[in-house]
This record gives sequence, C-alpha cells and structure tokens, in this order.
Amino acid sequence: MSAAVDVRDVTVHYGDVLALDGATLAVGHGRVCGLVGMNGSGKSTLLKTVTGLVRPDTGAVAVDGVPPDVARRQGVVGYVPQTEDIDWDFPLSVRDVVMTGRYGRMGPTRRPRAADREAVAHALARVELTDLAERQIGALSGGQRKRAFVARGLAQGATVLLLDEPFAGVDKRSEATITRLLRELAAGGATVLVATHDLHALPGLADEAVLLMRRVLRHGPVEDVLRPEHLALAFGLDPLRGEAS
Amino acid sequence: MIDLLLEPVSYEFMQRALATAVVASVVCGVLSCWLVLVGWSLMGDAVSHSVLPGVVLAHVLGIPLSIGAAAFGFLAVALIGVVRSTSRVKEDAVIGIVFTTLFALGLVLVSVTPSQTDLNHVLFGNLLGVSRSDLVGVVVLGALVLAVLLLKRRDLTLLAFDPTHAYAIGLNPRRLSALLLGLLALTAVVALQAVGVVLVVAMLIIPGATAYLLTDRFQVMLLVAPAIALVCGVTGVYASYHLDTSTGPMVVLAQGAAFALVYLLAPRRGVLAARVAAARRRRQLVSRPA
Amino acid sequence: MRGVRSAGSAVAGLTTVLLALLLAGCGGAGAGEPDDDRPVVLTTFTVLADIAANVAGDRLRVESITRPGAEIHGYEPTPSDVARASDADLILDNGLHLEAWFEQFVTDLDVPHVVVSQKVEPIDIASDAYAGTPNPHAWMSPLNVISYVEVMVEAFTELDPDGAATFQANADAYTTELQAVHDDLVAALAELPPSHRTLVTCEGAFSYLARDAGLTEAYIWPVNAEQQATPAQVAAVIELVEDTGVPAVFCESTVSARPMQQVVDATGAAFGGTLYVDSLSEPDGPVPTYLDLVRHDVEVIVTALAGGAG
Repeated sequence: MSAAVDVRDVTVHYGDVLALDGATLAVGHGRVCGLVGMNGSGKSTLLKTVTGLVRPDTGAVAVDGVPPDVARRQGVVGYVPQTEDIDWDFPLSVRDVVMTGRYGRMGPTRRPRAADREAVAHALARVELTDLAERQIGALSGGQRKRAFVARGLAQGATVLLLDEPFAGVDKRSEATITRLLRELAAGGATVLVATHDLHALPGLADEAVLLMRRVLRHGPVEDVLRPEHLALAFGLDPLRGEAS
Repeated sequence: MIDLLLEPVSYEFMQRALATAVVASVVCGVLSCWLVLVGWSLMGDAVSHSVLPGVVLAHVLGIPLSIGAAAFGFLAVALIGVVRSTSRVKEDAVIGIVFTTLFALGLVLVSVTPSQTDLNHVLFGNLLGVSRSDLVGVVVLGALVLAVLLLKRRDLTLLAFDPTHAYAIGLNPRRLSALLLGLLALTAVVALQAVGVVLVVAMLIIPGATAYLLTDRFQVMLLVAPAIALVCGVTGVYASYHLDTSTGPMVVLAQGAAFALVYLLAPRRGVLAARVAAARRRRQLVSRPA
Repeated sequence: MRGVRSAGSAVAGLTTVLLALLLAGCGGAGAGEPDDDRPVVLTTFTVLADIAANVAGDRLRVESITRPGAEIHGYEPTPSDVARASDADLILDNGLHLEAWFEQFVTDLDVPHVVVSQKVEPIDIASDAYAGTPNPHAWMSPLNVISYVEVMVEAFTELDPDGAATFQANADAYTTELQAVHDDLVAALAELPPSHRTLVTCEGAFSYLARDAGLTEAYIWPVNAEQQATPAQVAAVIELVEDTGVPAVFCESTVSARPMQQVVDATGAAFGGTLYVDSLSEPDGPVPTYLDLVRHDVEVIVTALAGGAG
C-alpha cells in the first residue's frame, strides 16, 4: 500500500540558498506526524513540496501514489497556513473562509449549492465555531482563527492535512480542540502533517515525529525523537563538535 | 432646482460625458475593491501610465486606441513579472522602473508625432470630446470587464486572500493574476478617456478604500464601492458643468471628498467614531465602582 | 444584514452631502443675456470675432470661445464652451489647422460650420515636424481678411437672408479700411532700400503679410515648432541680419523675446517692438480690434525698418 505522503530524496534551492537537502520521508495513512526543526530547517518548504507549490530540484514527491499536481486537482491536500501569512483585516467572514475550501468542487463561478452549504455548516460545527460564523475573521482570537482554517480543510474533504505552526499564539482550549480534531481525522483515515515549534503539544497529538534540518535527521515515535540528545542535533547544538553540521 | 439637474443633460455632449464617467467610475470602482486589498494600488498606477506608448502608436497606425493601450498594458505587466522573478530588485522598484520607462517612451513618441491636443487628452481625459463611437467602445469594453469580474469574483477574492490555498485546491493563481491584470489594463483603457492616464489610479483606489471603511464584508464592498464611484462620477460631471471647470478632475475631486467624509464620519471606523468610542470607554473606566 | 444597511445609509448620506455642496457652490452656468434672440455666431478666437462683428453689425450676436490672451493653438474647452457651441446658430473657424483642438467637439454638433480661410491660398510651414502643413496665421495680412469677409458675408446671408444688404454694406466699408492698411504698408515699404525689406520675427507668424506686402520673411523657428530657439536657429538669424543689414528685428507677443534679444546683442540691429498676432487685447488695452492690431503691427514694422527704434 502506498504511503499517504511519500517524499524521496528531495532537494530544493531558493536561488543559492539550500532549503532541503535530500530529504526523505514516508507517512502512512491515518497517522499524525509532527515535523520538528528550527527556523530555516525546511519545514515550510517541505510542506510546500507536498502541495506542489515548490518543485524539487531533484527527487520526487507523491501524495497517495500520485504527483502533487494531480493530487491538487482532486482536492486531496488541505493547507492550514501560518498566522503571519494571512491578512486578518480582509473583509471575509468565517463562513466565507470555510466556503473557499469547497471551491475545488464548484462550478466556474463558485456559486454554493446545498451540498456546499451543508459541508460548511458541518465543518463549522466540528470546530465549534457555529456561533461565530458571521464574524469577520480578524474579530476572532488566535485559537478561533486556527479552528476556522481547520474547518476549511474539513469542508474541503482533504485526506492529507498540512498545518504550519498551528499552535502559535493559540489558547489552551483551542489547542485542545484542534488536537482532538486532528486525532479524530486521523482515526477516520486522513493523514496529518504538523510543522511546529511547540514540542509540548506533540506527545498528545502525534503518532510519529520527524526531526528536520534540511534533511531528515530522525523519524520515529514521538518519545524517541524528542529525547534531548536528538533534539540537540536538530537545533544545531552538538556538544562534541561545537557547531551544527 | 430641477432645472439644475436637467439643463446639463439637455446637451448631447454632456449626456455622453455623463455616460462615460458613469461607466468608467463603476468599472474602476468594482476593480478597486481587489486592488486595495491585494496592495496593487501602485500596479494600477503603473498599468495606466504604461498604456501611453500604446495609445500613441495606435494613433499613428490608425488602429483603435484600446488595442494599442491594451497591448502595452499587458506588456508592462509581463515585464514587471519577468524582472521581478529574475532579479533581486524589490517589487515596488520593479514596477516603478517599468512604468516610468514606458511612460517616457510614450512622451518621446508624442514629441516625434506632433498632435498636442491628443497628448493632453490622453494624459488628462477628454470627457467633453467623447464621440458617439467612443461611447460605444467604452460601454462595450466596460460591460465586458464588469461581466468577467462579476463571474469570477469569488476566485479573484480567494486569490487576493490566500493564493496558497487557491493553489492547493487545484486553482491556478498565476492565471487568475494574469486575468486580474488583464482586466486592469482594459479598465485603464476605459478610464483614461474619462480622467486620463495621470488620474486613472485615483478611480482605481479611492472607491475601494472608501468602501473598506464602511463594511466588513467583501460582498458588500463590491456593491458600495461602485455605488460611491457612481455618485461621485455624476456629482463631478454636474459640478464641472455648473462651475465651468475641467470635467475629469472634478470627478476625482468628488471621489477624494467622498473618502474624506467617510474617513472622518464612518459609523465604526471613522476617525470621529473612534474618538467617541475611546472617550466613552474612558468614562466607563472612571465611573466604574472600585 | 446590518452591514449592508449601514453601508447603504452611508452612501445615501454621502450623496446628499455632495449634492448639497454642489448646489451651494453653484454659480450658475449663465444662459446668456435674457432677451437677446438674435442669431448667435460663435468664433474660435477674438480676432475672428472682431472681424465678424464688423460684418454682422447689429443683426447678429458674435462671440469668441477663447478669451483675449488665451492660447488659441491648443485650448481645452470647458463645459460651458461646448454648451455655447452647441447652442450657437453658426460657428466660424479660421481653418488651416488652427483649431485642431476644436474639431472633435464640433463634429457631433448639429450646428453649421464655416471655415473663413477657404478662399485663401495657404502658405506651408517650411520645415521641422510640421513641414507640409499650412501656416494658420492667414489673418495677419489684411488682403486675406478681405477674403475672410467675403466668406462671412455668404455665411451670414445664409443664416439671416433679410440682412443680406446690410452685411454687404458693412463688408464693403470694412474692406475699404483693410485695403487702406495694406496700401499704406506697401507705400511705406517702397521707400526703404530693398535689403531692409526683411521682416525678422521669432516665430514665423507673418508669412502671409510678408508675401502680400513684398517683404522677405525670416524667423528663428517656424510656427508651432517643437524645437524653439535652438542655438543653430539663432545663429542662422544672426547671420542673416548681418548679411542684409536690416536695422530692426521683432518678436511676437505670444512668445518670449529672449532669443531675439540675443540677435539684437550679437548684431547692430535694434529691437523694433512686440507684434500682436493671436489675440486682441482687453477693450481698454492696446489692440482691442483687428484693425488696431494690424495697424499697430504695420506701424511698428515700418517705423523700425525705416531706422527708428520701437
């Protein structure tokens, strides 16, 4: 059975800067996988190769056995962006944002039909944002905002969900809700990749973790990957050598 | 009073001026909603200036001005895209370089093909000189642009808000961007007949910015911006008639005045409202029992 | 939806305020004198208006779109200008490409439109980008204005047939005066040595006067030129002035005289004076009518070329 997300020896350069250096990773269906690494380790880049936004210089990426371009058109991959990447003053309501998750399935004018409205309502209920659905997205707390974007992925029906720093600036309650939701999704067969700094959130959330430093340093169970000596590798501290290689 | 309203439109040239101003205002007004949110105000200025060489060449070759203008509008956008993606120069500088160079090219072309009136009209608009055939062109082009904008409005909004998501679900942000920029070039062609190259950018920014202060819903912005632009278009044309001043700039002044009024007096986001709310909050803090 | 309602009322409020401002500042478009129902003849500039008024007498109301002193080669009409044109009964153009700026405004108007220079033999502008297009300043020669007057009589008669005799009588009287100005000029020039019968100006606006009066014309730059007063142009004129020994040079009122001052400084010639070309002055100014204008110019030219300074 093919992996849900299969990254093989992927190298990515941005101009002269090396972002990923022969990264290899395979994540099975129904798993939640945490991507751990410091800034510049390539977490975001890796996620972007899965959506197909970034094309690897060498290597290959497959989502459910097909290239990212094909997976895109099937609406397989959902992406929950970092907070900094969104203009929170944009005049859209929560419901509007969640509805954009359905666009891939709609006609050229994206006029919502009953099925679309239902999917959106259902997604809003699952993330417990039904009461706030008509609010402008900026009028929400950090945690509520994240839940809105998770709802978008739900409405989309994505089977591979990518989250980039979902717990940054998020209150405890929202963190708990999001964690519960992601586990439910995985239990239902979806695959979740979470890029995060928030190491404390991983044990309750992820089935496996990946240490990334332009390539995969370690991939395994969460308790193993998060051991101090392994983390030291990822965060560039090697007591014996003095500097990260 | 009725007379003040009826007298100008008893002249056919004023009817055409009014119609042109209205079409240009409405189309620009709708487009401005996206431009102000995406941060493409400079791009709007750039495209409208870049069409000058196209207009001059079209005049020389005897082909419709819209075609020449559109060609150079697209060329400008393409050049900006290429230079930006193949050098480390920042976007605003790239835009500045491309459009000023093209605009200067246009001025040079004008100096070797003498027809001074036409340059003035291209730069500052020619609402009073709109002929019957000009008006037909404006209406057709305006209707076309408006139709496309309305049909694709949801995709364009998503493009403005979250292009990464658009890409992830199988849309083509690059093609949508190209579409938006293409519509911008065509809109510039319509609007330059009303207010000229120099002032088109005003029509492409002010209505959207004004509407943005009045509502939190993009769908409502799409109604409010052209409505405001329409009112200002009519007001500007009427004012220029009764005060006997140049017409295009009066339309832009009306838009500026509208923005000023909204900026100060908008119910929630106006400066006055914000001050009142802040004062009320202070009073509540003071009077709260300890 | 509360959002729509508040935005909608904002738009309504905006409209009211803007309309109120507009009406408050409204000075009125001016529909003209209330009980003057004579036919209206609209000309493009003041010189034509004065000539036409002399022919029309009291039977027609003659007006000029441009005011005294305005730039007549490229004027941007205001709404009331176009409105007046649209309400006029007859529009008189100079022609010869003077009013390129006006054409597009009148093409769609339903008003008869007469070019007064139609019987004049055009002189082409000699060089520069405008080569091959006619020099518009035909009215600088009184003989051409006699031809203008003939055209106007025909046009006015068609507009107001009852006035035919009056127009003809007015025209005859005016023509006599025009002819006198021309004759005086020719006579005065006959007394000058041939090499002094050279009219040196800044702009080349006097081609027609020069042709009709037997003057040789010289100018720094051809009229409407993009290149005005380049060093090469000025040098050429300096050389010509030295070759002919002409005692004085002149400049048109519509342009800066500085280039001509350079010629004056470089040669022994005097600055003969400023010549009026494109526009009459205000009624209390030096050249309120066309006859005043052309007499003034002729006198300045003749006096200066005869050896007196301007």
